[in-house]
Amino acid sequence: MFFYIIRRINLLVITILALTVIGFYLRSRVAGDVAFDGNIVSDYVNYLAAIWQGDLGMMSGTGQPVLDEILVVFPATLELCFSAFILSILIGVPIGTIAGMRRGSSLDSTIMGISLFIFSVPVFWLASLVMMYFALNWDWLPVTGRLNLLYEIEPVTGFVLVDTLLSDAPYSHEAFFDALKHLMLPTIVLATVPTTEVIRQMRNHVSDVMKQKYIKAAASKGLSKTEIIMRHVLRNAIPNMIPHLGLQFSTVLTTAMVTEAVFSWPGIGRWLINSIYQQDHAAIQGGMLTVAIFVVTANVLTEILTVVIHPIRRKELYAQR
Amino acid sequence: MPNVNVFADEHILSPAEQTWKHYSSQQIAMAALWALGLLFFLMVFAPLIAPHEPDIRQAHLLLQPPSWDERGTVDYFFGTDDLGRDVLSRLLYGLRLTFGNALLVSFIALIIGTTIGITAAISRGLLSSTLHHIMDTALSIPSLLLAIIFISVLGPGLDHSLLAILLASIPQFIRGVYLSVFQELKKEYIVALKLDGANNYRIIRYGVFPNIIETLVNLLTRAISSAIIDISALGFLGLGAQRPLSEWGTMLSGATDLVFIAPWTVILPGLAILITIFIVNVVGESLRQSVIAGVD
Repeated sequence: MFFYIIRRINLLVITILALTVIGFYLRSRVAGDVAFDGNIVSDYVNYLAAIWQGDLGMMSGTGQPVLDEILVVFPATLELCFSAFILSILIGVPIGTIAGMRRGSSLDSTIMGISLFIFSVPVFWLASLVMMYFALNWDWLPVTGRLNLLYEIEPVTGFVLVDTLLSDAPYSHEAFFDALKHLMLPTIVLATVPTTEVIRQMRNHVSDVMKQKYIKAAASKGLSKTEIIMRHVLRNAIPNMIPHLGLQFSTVLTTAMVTEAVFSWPGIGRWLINSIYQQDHAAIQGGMLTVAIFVVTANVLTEILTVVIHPIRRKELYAQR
Repeated sequence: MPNVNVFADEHILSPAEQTWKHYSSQQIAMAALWALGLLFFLMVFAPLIAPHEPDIRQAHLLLQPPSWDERGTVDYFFGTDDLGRDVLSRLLYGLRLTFGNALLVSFIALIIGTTIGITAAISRGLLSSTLHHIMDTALSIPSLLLAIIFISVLGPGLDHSLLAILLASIPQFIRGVYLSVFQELKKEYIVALKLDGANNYRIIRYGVFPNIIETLVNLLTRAISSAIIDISALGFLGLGAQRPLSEWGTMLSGATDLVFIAPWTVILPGLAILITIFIVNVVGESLRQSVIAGVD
């Protein structure tokens, strides 16, 4: 167990170092940045020391520190991701459970067919269509941006929903609901693909649990179907979902980067893509490192969490050794 | 003399034959396979089928609606875009850019990934463990993100995006091949082969390879569907194929401003991506089920 965690953290450190090599290459193309003296080893060490202190360089356009800008745009992306992630779990888990309980039935194959179809929808296309439809027909739902320009909210955490609640401006309530409205469409679009993935995984885990003998035992004890689901099926199926959800989060983050581009959401995806257009190497380096390190860390943490809370996984681990 | 079969010889189906038997019994799966064949046909013969040149601009035929619209004509079946280019022809040529490139990239990734995966599986010690670790990490980063990282180093462009997607999809193959070869090598018939004195090449070629074909096809369909999404997403974001190439994602990104006056220029390329990915996914998913059914 201890060795497992050490190995994972070791892996995390190695990966992050590998990513910093790419970052180093990008940064070395920025003229007159970190004190580089031509010796590649000492340059790399200098670079590591610089990013350790949070020095990600300056934006070539505005002259602002890259880190400051990332601290503004990254929370916006995370806010979008979290809300889409929660939505996909809220929808996916019940539907997946229903499909898994009746594996092989026509209901199951309908659900799986529809979710395979939705899984194939390109998210940027869906985003454009949704935008067109809502802009034309339902103008009460805003289709671009994050907050109406009327409201001026002091950024504290970077998460608009939290900031509007913390704010003591007289209009903070209206601003909160405005932020919520802005969040709605991007969230729904972003949640479609992960929802189908949650449905699929949940269905497989539930139907695996349904084959177990303890379910038969519970049924023969006379427990009702709801009791079996609540007490036995979900309790055994949901812990199995955690590794999938962790991996899913990185997919959501990537998809969010595409969705942002359509909904003009001021997040890191749109920002990074603009930096790539402008060949702003310091910004690309900063954005790339932030997103990649976040994804890898989240994955390693999920793996460790799975092992910690899920005894069966631990058993597998002992067997491997 | 007639070929008399004296012994009741039972033909034992190989794993691939079992999978195919189950697969071909499913109607939807077969329909998807035929549709995939049709896409392939359209892709190869696009220049013969396309009614117009994809890049010819006609100033008098701007934003012609599709044929089912009252103002549309059959000559321009799917209408024309804002530069008067025939949408149907562009979509057909785009099939080569999006679907064709996805096939190409996935096949190259298959070959490279299989080679590395098999090498890793038969080797022991440091190489194997290093590969395993690198793959674990590379896999935890989604392919589109990995592709964006590569493009941020290489710069935008179709070639760069294809290279990036290739590099991003190789780890999936290495991991999949590694795991299945590793499991296969533990089985007893491999031990029998070894006792017969077979060398590594013969073990892989005659022992392992016939039994991992399904895994390979399975990995391939996944790679193709994610390559289509990635190529078109990068095209849409302006990081992949550049205008005036008729890559589907690029076509979409050029048309989003027209969505209110010419919705077909947005809806049709998106539908093309959707249908293609759906067909590949149905084939892949049915195949996966058939492999499981064959094992049971």
